[in-house]
Amino acid sequence: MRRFSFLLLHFFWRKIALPVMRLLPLRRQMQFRTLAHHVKMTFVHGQIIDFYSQVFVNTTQSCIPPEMVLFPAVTPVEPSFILNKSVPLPLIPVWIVDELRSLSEIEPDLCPTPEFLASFVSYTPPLELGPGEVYRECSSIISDFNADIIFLIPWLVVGGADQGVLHHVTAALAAGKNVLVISTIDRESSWRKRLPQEAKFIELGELGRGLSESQRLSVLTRIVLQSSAKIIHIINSPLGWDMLKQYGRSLNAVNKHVFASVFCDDYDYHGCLRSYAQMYFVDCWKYLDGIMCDTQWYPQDLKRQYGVSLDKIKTIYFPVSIESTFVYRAVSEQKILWVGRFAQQKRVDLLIKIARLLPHINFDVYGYAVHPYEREMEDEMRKLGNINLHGAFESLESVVATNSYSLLLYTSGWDGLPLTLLDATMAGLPIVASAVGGVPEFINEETGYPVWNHDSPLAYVERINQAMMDDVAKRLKWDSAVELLLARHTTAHFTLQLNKICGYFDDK
Amino acid sequence: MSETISPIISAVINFHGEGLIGHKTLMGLERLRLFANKRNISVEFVLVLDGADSETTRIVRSSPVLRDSDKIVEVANYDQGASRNSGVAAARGEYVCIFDGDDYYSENWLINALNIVNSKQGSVVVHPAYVVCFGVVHSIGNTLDIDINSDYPLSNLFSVHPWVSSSFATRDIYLSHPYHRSDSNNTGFGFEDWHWNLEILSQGIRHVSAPNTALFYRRKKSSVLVHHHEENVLVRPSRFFDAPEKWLASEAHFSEYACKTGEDK
Repeated sequence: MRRFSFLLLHFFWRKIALPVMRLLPLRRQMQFRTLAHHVKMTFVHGQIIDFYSQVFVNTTQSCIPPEMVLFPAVTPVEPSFILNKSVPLPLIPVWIVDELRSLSEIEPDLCPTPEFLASFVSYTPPLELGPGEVYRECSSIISDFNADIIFLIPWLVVGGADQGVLHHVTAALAAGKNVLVISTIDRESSWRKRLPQEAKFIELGELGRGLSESQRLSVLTRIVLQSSAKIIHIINSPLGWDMLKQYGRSLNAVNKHVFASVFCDDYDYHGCLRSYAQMYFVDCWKYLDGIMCDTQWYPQDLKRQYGVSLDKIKTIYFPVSIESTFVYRAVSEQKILWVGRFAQQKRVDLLIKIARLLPHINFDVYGYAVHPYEREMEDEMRKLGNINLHGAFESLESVVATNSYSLLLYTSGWDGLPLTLLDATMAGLPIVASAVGGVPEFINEETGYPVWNHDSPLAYVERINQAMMDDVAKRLKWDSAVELLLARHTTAHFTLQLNKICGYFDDK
Repeated sequence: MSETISPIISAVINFHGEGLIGHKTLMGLERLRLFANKRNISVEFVLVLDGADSETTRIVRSSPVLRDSDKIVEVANYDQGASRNSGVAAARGEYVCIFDGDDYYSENWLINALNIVNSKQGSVVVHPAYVVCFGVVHSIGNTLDIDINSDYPLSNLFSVHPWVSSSFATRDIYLSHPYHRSDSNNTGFGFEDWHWNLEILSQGIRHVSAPNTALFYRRKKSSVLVHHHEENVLVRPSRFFDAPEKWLASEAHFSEYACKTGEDK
């Protein structure tokens, strides 16, 4: 009967309870498992906590004589995994009290006085299943895959840096590497379908949703440490940077070579500088094998800000996918294209001022708002008759191909070398752009209309008018931009530059 | 008692800077030896002085409990794991017990552990059933016995170490599974016992406990363990983490783990 009951319970647990529980969030699963475990330990293994026992505490400081058993003798408790408790129970078996008494001849501090014995608390190692479970889940995705290179990214969504991740992954695959990509922020990666199928993808941010930040960090670190990959490449992953900061010496000790891509500084809504370089260079520089930037400007700026050696920093211009011939699509109409998120960095406020100064020109705006400031900007734009809002876009090329624009206007307040400029050139548009960060490396007087006084709406107006007035000059600048694109922003050039990085693809 | 025959048990004890505590530790361990000797079990002490300071060296070398058959091994590993390996290499016993230089044990620890090793099927590493912490923390708890708690969720070992450094097993287990050097200051790896215990488990060797035995663990304000926690020290890569599919928290699964061991053997 007992055997039958056990089998029945076992069947219920494995076939019904466990499958149902696996549908629950991880934390809830663990709660039910903990509960079931205690039920088992209590009713099957007979473990109990005697909540009614009292502890007799003698006020004397002297060592108790052997015949005085102040603590009731208890059967030694078998190992249990209940959570830590601090309870005045007959915690200490009598034979341990005897041992303490005997040892006190050597170590008087162990004399089992009532006070001494009453000072003990029960300790059982805690149950912290989440990190191990998430690690196991992540490992099942990798299985027997022997990664050569791991990319640590925040997510894979619509964006320039995300496009950059795809370029890096493609180049690594082309170099014959086994690629593992790990996203570390809990956000759906809408571009995961763009990831080449040969690459493995772990969405740690989502899988580790129920974990604390430090637990997620422990899982990520363990995945990296146990992996066969010798190259770790961090691209905008805060957790990846945290891992390097806390465990960089361990990564280096097992011959992991760590690279990171940094593109430009950012500023928060208080105007304070925020960048991975600012947050992590001081602690992480010594663990890094190399830094990749997509401009020549940023390495110089990093040297200026942090005094770092340029030997470790390489400029790797991102490529564009050149699948068809270039077609010049700019027209003479008074219509301008503006694309981007309505973030402070993109200077929508400038766009609004420019639009007010040029009421005869229509501005097609493709973008979206996330933060309150951005929604405020969106509302402002809606008030203007010559700004048409279109929301986010999937492909710049199709936006340009199905409309008639005179040029692309780019008003960013700070930037690296935005892929939007490369894409717009590919799509056939000349560009008026703020000459910030790495932008002049692509948009200069030969290839477009850089705005040097990039805080001034009038400066933009001047360059826009200049472009509008001379179609031939505008076309010639676009031709030069295409030339530069073909010379410097091809996949072949990108791969060549990556191959030149010591220890990256050549696994020193 | 004469000890001309080979010892059955080698007690490997690490010392580095224990100073006067080392004297008390050896007195405490002598209790275990006398208890074993009364049951006709011979025990040798293998005292490893790992870069020990002069006071600790003097204490160990002049200890009244030393016997002619005991060994003193002087090394400059500056590493717990490496020094345990040095001690095991010098040990002559069929069984080895690992001790730290500042803890005490119940006097039956060696004998009960020996009985457990000999009564269990398959390979096991034995730990004291109870850990009684004294010093800056007073607590009592149990170590995990994987035979009794076969449903223990092994995924918990990712974050939690339910065993202690004190262990008892046949000498061949220590020889075939040496401890790793930590060199935590340079590598950031530490918790060498946690790592060793995981490695042992990953090779199908079960961690069990000897009933009615206790380790009296001296908790200090500052210790290697405290340092490891403060300095973001990690358990070095282990084969245990290579096969998390074996961690499923079910009795059936651990049986599978254990069965595999039988096959391996």
